[in-house]
Amino acid sequence: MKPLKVNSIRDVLLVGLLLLCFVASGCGQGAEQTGNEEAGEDIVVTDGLGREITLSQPAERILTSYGIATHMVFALGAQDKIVGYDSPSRNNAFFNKLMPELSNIPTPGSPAEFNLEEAMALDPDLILVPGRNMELVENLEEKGLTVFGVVAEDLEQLKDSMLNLGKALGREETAQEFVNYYENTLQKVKERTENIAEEDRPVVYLVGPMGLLSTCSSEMYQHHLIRLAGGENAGGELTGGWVEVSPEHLIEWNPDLIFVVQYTADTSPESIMEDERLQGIKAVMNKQVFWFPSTLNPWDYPSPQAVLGLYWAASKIQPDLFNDLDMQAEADQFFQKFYGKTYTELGGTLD
Amino acid sequence: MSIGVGLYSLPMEVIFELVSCKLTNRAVPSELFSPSVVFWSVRLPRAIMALLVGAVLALAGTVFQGVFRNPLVSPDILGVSAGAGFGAGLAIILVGRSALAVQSMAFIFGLAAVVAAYQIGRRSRSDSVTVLVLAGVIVTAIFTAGLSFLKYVADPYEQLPAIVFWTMGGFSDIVWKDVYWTLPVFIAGTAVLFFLRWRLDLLSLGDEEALTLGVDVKKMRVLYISASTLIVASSISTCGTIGWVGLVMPHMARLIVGPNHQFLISFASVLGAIFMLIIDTLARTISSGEIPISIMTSVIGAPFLAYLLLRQEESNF
Repeated sequence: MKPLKVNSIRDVLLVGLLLLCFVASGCGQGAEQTGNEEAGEDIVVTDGLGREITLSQPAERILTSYGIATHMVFALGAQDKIVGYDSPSRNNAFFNKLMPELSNIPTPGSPAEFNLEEAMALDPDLILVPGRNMELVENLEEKGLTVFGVVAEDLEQLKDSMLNLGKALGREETAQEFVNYYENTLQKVKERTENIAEEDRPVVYLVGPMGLLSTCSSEMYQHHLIRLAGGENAGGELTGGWVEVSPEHLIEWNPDLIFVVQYTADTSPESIMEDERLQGIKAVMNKQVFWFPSTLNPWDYPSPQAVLGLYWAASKIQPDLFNDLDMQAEADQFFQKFYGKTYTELGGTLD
Repeated sequence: MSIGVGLYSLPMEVIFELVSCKLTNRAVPSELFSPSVVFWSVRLPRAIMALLVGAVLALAGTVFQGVFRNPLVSPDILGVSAGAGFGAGLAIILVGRSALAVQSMAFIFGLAAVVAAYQIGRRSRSDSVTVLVLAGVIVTAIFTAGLSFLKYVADPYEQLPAIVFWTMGGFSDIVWKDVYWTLPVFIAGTAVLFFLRWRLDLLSLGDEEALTLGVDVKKMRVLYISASTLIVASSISTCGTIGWVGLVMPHMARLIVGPNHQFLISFASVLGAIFMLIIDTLARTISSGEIPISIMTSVIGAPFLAYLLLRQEESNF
């Protein structure tokens, strides 16, 4: 570049104007901090809806209206960029432990509703919303905001989202590490479970959010999780989302294991063990009824910690194939790597 | 019959065998262990609960229609269900999942809803039977909004599933414990209504006529409404909101035995019990999952209300 010659008032004004534009567009600090992005070169990422999003520099003020997106931001170590987040996450003990000042940050929305004015007042340069809410995506875009639709219904989409989000937030390295970790784990689990014959797959009944008699159909992530971990989903013949079944189903299916999600209602492994109706079921007779970890965050749906849920499920469903796995140590390692504190330090347990 | 059909097949001879084992105190053969559990611990309590709930809902509906002298009302139309749902949600958020707190709050708010609907209806200058129904719509709207608000502020991981779980209900998760808990309430409420059934005829003549016949109208009305609301709230707290039964069954009964409450009350209850058992049996056998019971009752009940509205002037009240 040729150095600018300042030899007239007009030139001084021109440079001033250029500087003003530079500052106004917010380039200055961000570019310096991340360093590896050259000023002026746009960042182009693809969101979960397949839309291309262009940023002039990594986002510095992010607003998330979706719990899973908030999780992604934390896993990428970019939580200090949050200027607003989803209201259901306000009481999340895990987030608050990692970032005590979170409680002072506004929560302008949730996946269900969104306060547009409050959101705009926060002046975010990137808004993360659930990708399934097309209406919100379009609405925000019309207002001139930059929107990233997060879609993570399975592990593939989760990896994609993490990569693209990592790029948008200037955390590409972390995102890449995350994806590598996922691919390694998936590879390890797949190698051991892929060729298990149908008849050798233990039947797993997963207790869903609506109590003992709700379970996951074949269309849910949890179904694939059980398959991947070397089991057979008891409700695998059903369709829909979370489905209601009768106790007769449970007795008929006679599952070898029962997993209970953390966010269920009025059910616990203890209540299942004591349920007179279930005394003849293999899982109860062999005491194979467990909370699906973790005590910090549920690992049974596709959030950044889902990979640990896969490991855990595999170690319960196929204990002989995964007897080399120390779950607590694995979780500690993962948490240390992506959250800077071990799982144990944060108070997480596996029961 | 209902006990025999279902996902887990239980042939009649197996049921006979199981019952005779129980009667003669013999141990159940090991190959019949699962059928025995299905029969004694799943299907029997469920069938009994369906019979009971059907009976009390129809009973409460009959009483409401008599007390308010209005063929278009029932506990759910006057807002009892919405009020009870709100009360239960409030209890879950404020107190936690204690069964006693949830049930009593459900009762209190269920009662508050009827009283509110009745007061709105009474103060309206119009005397039409639809005014009370509209008052019920208003009260229901308020409590439904209240419940939505509670869901909004509820903790999404702990309280929200509990509230949704509670308001959904159904018979699929009924165990003996539920029968033991609700039975005393059902018996108490039903006894009050049953022994006072003859006065319902007097009340349905209208306040002035009833007064001249020496009935303390106010006291009676409070008693009837409280007892009905109690059994409805108790049924809601075990099986969730089951609409339309309380509205439709009294009419069917009236078509068969006429408007005399002496017989109407018992007959409507029996009819309600049978209806509910049939509906629940269908709900658990039609598809591979469980069809929510309120879908089934609405499909039958809503068109019936339309029919009633259309022939309202011929009503025998």
